[in-house]
Amino acid sequence: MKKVIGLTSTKLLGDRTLIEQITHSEALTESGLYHGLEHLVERDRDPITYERFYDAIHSVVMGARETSKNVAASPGARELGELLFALLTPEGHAIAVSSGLVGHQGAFRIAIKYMAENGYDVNPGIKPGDIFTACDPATSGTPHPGDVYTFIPLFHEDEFIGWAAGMNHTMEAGGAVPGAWPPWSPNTFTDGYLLPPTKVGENFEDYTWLYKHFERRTRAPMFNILDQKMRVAGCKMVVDSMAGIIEKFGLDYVRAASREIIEETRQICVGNVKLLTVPGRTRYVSFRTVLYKGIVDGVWPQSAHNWLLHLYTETQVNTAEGKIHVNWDKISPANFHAMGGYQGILESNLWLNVMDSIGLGLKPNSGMNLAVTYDMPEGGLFNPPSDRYSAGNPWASSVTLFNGFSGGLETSKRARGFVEESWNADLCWTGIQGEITLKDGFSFGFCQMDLLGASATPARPYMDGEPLATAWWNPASDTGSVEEWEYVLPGIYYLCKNVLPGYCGHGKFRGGLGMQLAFVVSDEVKEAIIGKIGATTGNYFTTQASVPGGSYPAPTSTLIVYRGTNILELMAQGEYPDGLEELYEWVDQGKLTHQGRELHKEEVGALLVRPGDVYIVAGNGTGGWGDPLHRSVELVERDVKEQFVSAETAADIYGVPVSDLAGDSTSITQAAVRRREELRQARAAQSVPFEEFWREERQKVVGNEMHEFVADAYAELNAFSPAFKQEFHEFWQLPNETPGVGNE
Amino acid sequence: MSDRSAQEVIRDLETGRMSWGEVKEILRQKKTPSRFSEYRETLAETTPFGDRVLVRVGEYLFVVVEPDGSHSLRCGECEHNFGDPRINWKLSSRVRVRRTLEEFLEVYLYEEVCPEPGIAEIREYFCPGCFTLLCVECVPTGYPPVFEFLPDLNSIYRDILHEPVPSGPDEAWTFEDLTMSKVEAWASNNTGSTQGAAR
Repeated sequence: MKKVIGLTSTKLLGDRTLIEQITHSEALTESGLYHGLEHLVERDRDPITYERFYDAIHSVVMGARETSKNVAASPGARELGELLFALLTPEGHAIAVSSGLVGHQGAFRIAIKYMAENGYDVNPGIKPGDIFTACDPATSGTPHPGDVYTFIPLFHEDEFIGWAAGMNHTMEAGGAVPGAWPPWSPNTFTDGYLLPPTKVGENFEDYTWLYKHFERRTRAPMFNILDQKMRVAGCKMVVDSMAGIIEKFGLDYVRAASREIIEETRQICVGNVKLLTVPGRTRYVSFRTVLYKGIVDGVWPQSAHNWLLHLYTETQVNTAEGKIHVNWDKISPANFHAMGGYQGILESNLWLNVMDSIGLGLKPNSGMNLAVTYDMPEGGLFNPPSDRYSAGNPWASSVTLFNGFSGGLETSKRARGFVEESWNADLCWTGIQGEITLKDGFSFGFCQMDLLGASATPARPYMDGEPLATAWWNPASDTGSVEEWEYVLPGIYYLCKNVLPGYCGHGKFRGGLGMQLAFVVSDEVKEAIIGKIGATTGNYFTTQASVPGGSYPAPTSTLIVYRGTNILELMAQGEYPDGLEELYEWVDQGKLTHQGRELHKEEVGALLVRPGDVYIVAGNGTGGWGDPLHRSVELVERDVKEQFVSAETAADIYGVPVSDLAGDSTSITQAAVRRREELRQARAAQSVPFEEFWREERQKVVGNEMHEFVADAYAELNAFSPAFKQEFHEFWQLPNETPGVGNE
Repeated sequence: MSDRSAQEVIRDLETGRMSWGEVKEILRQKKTPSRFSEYRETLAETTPFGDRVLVRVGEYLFVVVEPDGSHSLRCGECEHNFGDPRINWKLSSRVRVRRTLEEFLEVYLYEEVCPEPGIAEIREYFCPGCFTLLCVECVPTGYPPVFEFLPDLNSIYRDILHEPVPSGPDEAWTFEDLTMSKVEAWASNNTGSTQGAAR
């Protein structure tokens, strides 16, 4: 009888099923050492071979990434590099990852565990060449439905030894509103086409039904099918290449060294905490608004509400033991909106932040997640009471939550003296998504992601942030080209893409300037729907409530829509505005006529736009470091000369009256001394001792003299979080019977 | 850069006198356990506190060892004493609160990207001694001030410096947040100033 290869019987992982193997590994790791490894035997016995082995598997996943995205892929993967490939252990722990959306390696194991818990190794079986794809946040670790994971098991002869994993951020998720991050989604049923881990193909070939599902249940089927093919192609490259590596190094070595690579990374992380930090407690906070009231009331009455999210992170640094613990006991509860999520969003974010803060000199892999422990309360924003909650747009809220974690470590590293390594942890992105229907009837969903690939860098204790320079969530990202985006999104065209002067948090070292993009809806379009999304970008509040550098946090993001303009006629005459300020001038002059203007700082899911409408999106600035009055006069002069800030900003925020004394450096220095003294005197005159502020503000709290929206948020937090309630009551010295905000 | 001392390198870095190329070189260098001591020596030169400086907790704020062995949080510009580092220093600062769109526009320039008036307020915390801007906070009305960093001084001495806590009142120092003690004192003293608006 021909032997069946694969996890089709119950005991093919040695003497264990897949779930028994996962349980076994977790039990070993409870020792604090990955898989219970007390010694890195292979590394210590022959470090050269060990490094050659790691280099070989790292090359495999990098090669998969660089090749597959050119075989087939949506522009998000091909242009922006929004993809990732990884080699996993049988339990789903990443051994080596490619560049790209590296955070997701932390979440892969959630999908593997779901398959194991549900007996996938028995039914449908796990065989060589099988393809499993997943995008359901509650079951598969994918942070939101736009992040799609694909796994192909890795066998050597008849032995199951791990997985090849590929993921990318797709262009459209098929939710109630178009795009990949549906911001208007009250529950899991409106999030989109959610696939729990599912066998979608065999012999390295997708089943036809999967493509038909993409065609019927998403608005960008062509791109989603291309992305699936890309993930399968990359995974197959990993599978094929690993055969050669196993032949070269031997199966026993591959298994042993793979475990050691993960444990080694964990050890290096622990060592870095000991080396880089000062012990103590850090707290950083941010606030986000979710505005559903008046939008969804008739259809989803349980979501007819406006929420103020409290994204509060306390980080406890134990330098002596190399331990970090994150406490989220004051976070907002989960609710019927799209800004919450499940474990995968935490694991993905955690890994990203560990890498950027304490991840020096290591092999990026799942060992990093073991270096930090955390508590997310039951019922909290990212630990919902059931699997019916939405995870449509959790990056918007979780990135800022983790900026609080990273900000704490940046503060701690600066205190230790590692000045060069510290920065304001407030990287952010903004984006536009939606659906375009052309006049010929062709309709397609999209994510316009060029601001997703390029945040300004944050200010540091020694230099300004830079515009459009990085993407913390994707170390190999790019903003893409305007021409490419216009090619794949016909009907909506750029009017401008450039930095917005003065659009940053000011400081001794200022934040990087944010970007402005203006678009016109062309007459090729019958109608289109656009939405605004973003991560970390503030909406009713600045990006972070405060930043490690102590100066002004980054301003909010925004979406401005001008309805029914004459822009198409102006364009026919060769007139293109170069940005927000020129657009405003045109409006003031009557050159640009319009029938209405809308402003959305908040995230919106679906605005109908038509030919002749103009919309502007701005975001991606970062916050400042240190007192603006301490900025060097020369840097202020340069900023004015380069039109990074206006002369008014130079005089009124930086205390350098450049325009009064252009070109006379001695006079400018003297004038700055005088102007800065005036501004300090203004600070003295306009400020009060904190105790006085406390008494005044306390009366507002006691008397409930605050916006209903804010009062509701305090009531919700007091009801959900005993820790918040205790601190809030103690700080304002509230009697328990205080009405309104004081109690639930 | 190899002919320069560690203190000189750190000083030049913090004062923005390095090119990006030099910074990148430092970023790539192996981090060493001696950095904390080197940094303290740098701070001894660049702050008014000399070797009494223990640890930097903000751009302008330092934990300093007082002559009697106690620890205080002080402004690095004017030496103003904020008191016990375990009490959120913001309670000992002066604060300017921006609440209106007009006030927001003075620091955020465009109405479209300002925080929302009526919901958010911007608090600027100044040193009472020299009016240096120490921290900016954008929070809802009624939100308690954020206590960004509470260092564990015992562990700094024991685990980083490997030396005993200086003799004096802080020998039995405990790692705890004492912020509420100040608030409780205010609450029990109703004679404090209640006049004047915070801007």
